[in-house]
Amino acid sequence: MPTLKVKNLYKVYKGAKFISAKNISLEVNEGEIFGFLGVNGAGKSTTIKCITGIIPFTAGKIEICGHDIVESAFEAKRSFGFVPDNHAVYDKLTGSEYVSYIASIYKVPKEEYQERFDTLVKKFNLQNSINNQIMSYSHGMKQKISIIGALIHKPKLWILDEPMVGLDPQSILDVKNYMKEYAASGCSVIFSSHNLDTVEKLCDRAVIIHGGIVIADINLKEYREKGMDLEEEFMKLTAKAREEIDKIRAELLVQERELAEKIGKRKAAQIMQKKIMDEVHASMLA
Amino acid sequence: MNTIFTLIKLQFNAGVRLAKDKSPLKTAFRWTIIGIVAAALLGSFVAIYHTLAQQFMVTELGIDLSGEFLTFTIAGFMVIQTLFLIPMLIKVLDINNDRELLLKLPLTSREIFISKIIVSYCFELVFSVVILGPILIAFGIAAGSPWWFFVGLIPFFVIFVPIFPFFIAILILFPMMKLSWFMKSKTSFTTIMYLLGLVAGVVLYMLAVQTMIRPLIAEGFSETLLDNATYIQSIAGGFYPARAFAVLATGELVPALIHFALIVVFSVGLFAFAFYIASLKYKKFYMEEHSSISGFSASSKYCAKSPIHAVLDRECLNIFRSSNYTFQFLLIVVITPLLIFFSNRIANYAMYQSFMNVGEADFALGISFEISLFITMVLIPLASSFAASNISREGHNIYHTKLIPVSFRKQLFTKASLVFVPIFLSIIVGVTLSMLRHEITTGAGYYADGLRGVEVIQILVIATSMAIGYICLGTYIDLCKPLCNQISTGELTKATTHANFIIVLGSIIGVGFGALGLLSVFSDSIGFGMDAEIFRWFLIAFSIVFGAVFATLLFVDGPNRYRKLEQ
Repeated sequence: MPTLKVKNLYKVYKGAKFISAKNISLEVNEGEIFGFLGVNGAGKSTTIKCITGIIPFTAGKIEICGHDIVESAFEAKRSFGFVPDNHAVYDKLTGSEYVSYIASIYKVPKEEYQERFDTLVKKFNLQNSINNQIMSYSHGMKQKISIIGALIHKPKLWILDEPMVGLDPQSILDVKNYMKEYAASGCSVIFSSHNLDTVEKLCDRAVIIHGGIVIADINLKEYREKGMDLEEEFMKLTAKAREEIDKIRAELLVQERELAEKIGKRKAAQIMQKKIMDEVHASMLA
Repeated sequence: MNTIFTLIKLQFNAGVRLAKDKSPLKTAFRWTIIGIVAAALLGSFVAIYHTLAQQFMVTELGIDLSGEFLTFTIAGFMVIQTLFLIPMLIKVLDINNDRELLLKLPLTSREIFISKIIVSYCFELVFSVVILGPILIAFGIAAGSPWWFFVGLIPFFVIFVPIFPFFIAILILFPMMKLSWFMKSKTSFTTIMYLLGLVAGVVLYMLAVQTMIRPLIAEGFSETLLDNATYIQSIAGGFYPARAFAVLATGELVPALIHFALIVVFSVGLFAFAFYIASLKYKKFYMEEHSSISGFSASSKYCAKSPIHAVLDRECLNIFRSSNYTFQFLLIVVITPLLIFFSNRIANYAMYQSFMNVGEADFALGISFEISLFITMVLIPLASSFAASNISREGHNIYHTKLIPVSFRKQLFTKASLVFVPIFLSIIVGVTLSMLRHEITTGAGYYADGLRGVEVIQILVIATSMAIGYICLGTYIDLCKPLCNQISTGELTKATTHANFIIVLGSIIGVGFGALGLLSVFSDSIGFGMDAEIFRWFLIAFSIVFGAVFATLLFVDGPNRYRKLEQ
């Protein structure tokens, strides 16, 4: 059974001019490290937020360890741990208070907690500051406590959004090693990144997203075996996609502008939004 | 000098820039509503002040205590301004706020301090123009002051009066800041100290009001003034420097000129002294690593709690480790019972005296129910309005609340309960204190005040239901349009529009309830053929429906809205 199964995912933000995630389908298997690649605004974070249930999605189906994120939200949420890109944690709490809060939420038994806590704190080298208020933590330390919080309930799926941003080289290495270790234990890891090198070396598979569309699903094991260059492929694919998507988007903007001149900005925006939604529904039916 | 101006501009932008609505129509509407409400509140206050001021100018009895009245007014204003100024100065001078940013720039601590002190004074000046200005105009009209009072003296007062609170606030602030560095939890220490100070201030103030008003009630206003004129004059004489301002406005030419010179010399001197003290200390605080950004350290053990218990604990820690939130919320919660208690005592004393003086009634009752209800109804929206930042307060952590496997309904319930429980306890303490009964039987009849058991239950039902209504409505409004990206995490929030809406709505309902309640005591009916007893039942029914409607809205539609949030 795949740890994560996304089928025909669509996301249109309220009032948006374009579809942020369009017909995204993917599967992540047990023991896999899976990468999301894409330029800024490609739709990586949107897809991850939909997967984690942070934002609702317009259409499609997401299953985590067999649990539907909408219909069996609690079971699905208990199956993953998430590390966001903004390193937001409750900074009025101390590090240990934050981790015990998360542990209680996920009902971690007392007897299991201490061992996991000690291992993770040691692994991420936070022994000296774990009892300090998070507000005193550096950027990297906040990222580390966020990772400890995400893993304290030992989820089957570990999701990270831009995890390496702001970390020092040693911490980056620690996180990478732990990702490998975690995947080797039979769990799955998904992360988004701009860093092609990291993805190429670390991941078993990756998708490239551009303009909300999956433009490539790459088996990186094969890439590595064949000695192919991910960077070159990425540049080629995104340049082509950018050309096409920019053209479509420019046409849409012209249409909206023309409509706006006739019926006013507000109504034009409403019509364009409806058009997007019709497109989503038509795709779903197809 | 240019650096200082740039810093001042930066401080202003950071401190007072308001969120802009996309539509200019919306902005205009918002400002019109704010303007109307502010004008109505200020207008009512000035009208009451004007009437009161006239009482002290009873020339037909041969006394004119207008100068003394102005002295007390300015002194009162100075005390209030000092109280408001301390938290504001803490915020503006807060070394944690911008330390990292400013220390990177080629600025001296002196330049930073000068800019911050000028900004603080400017904020204070705004407060002075808006509050003291209209009060002085009302006084001038009541006293029939000449034109130069309005044109010359009022601007002079508005500029110079704030200097004294400014000086006092700085002198209080720095030792307090110094002391707080030694405390493990600086936030708790500052909050508790300031809260205690304010509560003591309120108690002393209410005791003073009670002491002053009781003889007025017992002997009649004009007679009391006449008997105590010398006493009042001697007290007012001691209220320096407020007295100096009053002499300037109401005294003879020569003493007025002397006091004018004294005010200018003292103001400049005090400002310079306060500035010197503060700049010395500030430099030390700024340059040394005495920053609460380092937070505190506390070891904690894991005890597996239920998810709802864990959410409740986390909310508590997050809220009560934020001094702004804790202080402003707890202040109202703590002050509510005190105000209920003292207002009851003063009002019931008036009723008692009236009973003793007239001596005709066979039976008389105090007005504890109406007074308690009135005070409770006015203060509950203020405390409940904090619920209007329940969602925005999460800031960038809002994603946490959507990730965790705890239902949105339970999370909303936790957030609402945290605001409700202290308010509920506050109401209980207030009404319990108001149960202290004063009964007397004389030849004229029977008199009793204090709340009866049934009245306690009635007030509890009304106040609790209304509080639930306001809290649920506030949370729901915030849920519909949270301002997570515009506020700092965990702080009280700048979600003022939501909170203001609850305060304005609550004030209208509260004043309406209170006014109709008091009216029902002094006449057989309040109109529409509704007598006092029926009116009480009407209030109970209204409040239960009010609470139930908004609780249903929050707990039925709220979870769905929470799920749809795209923050």
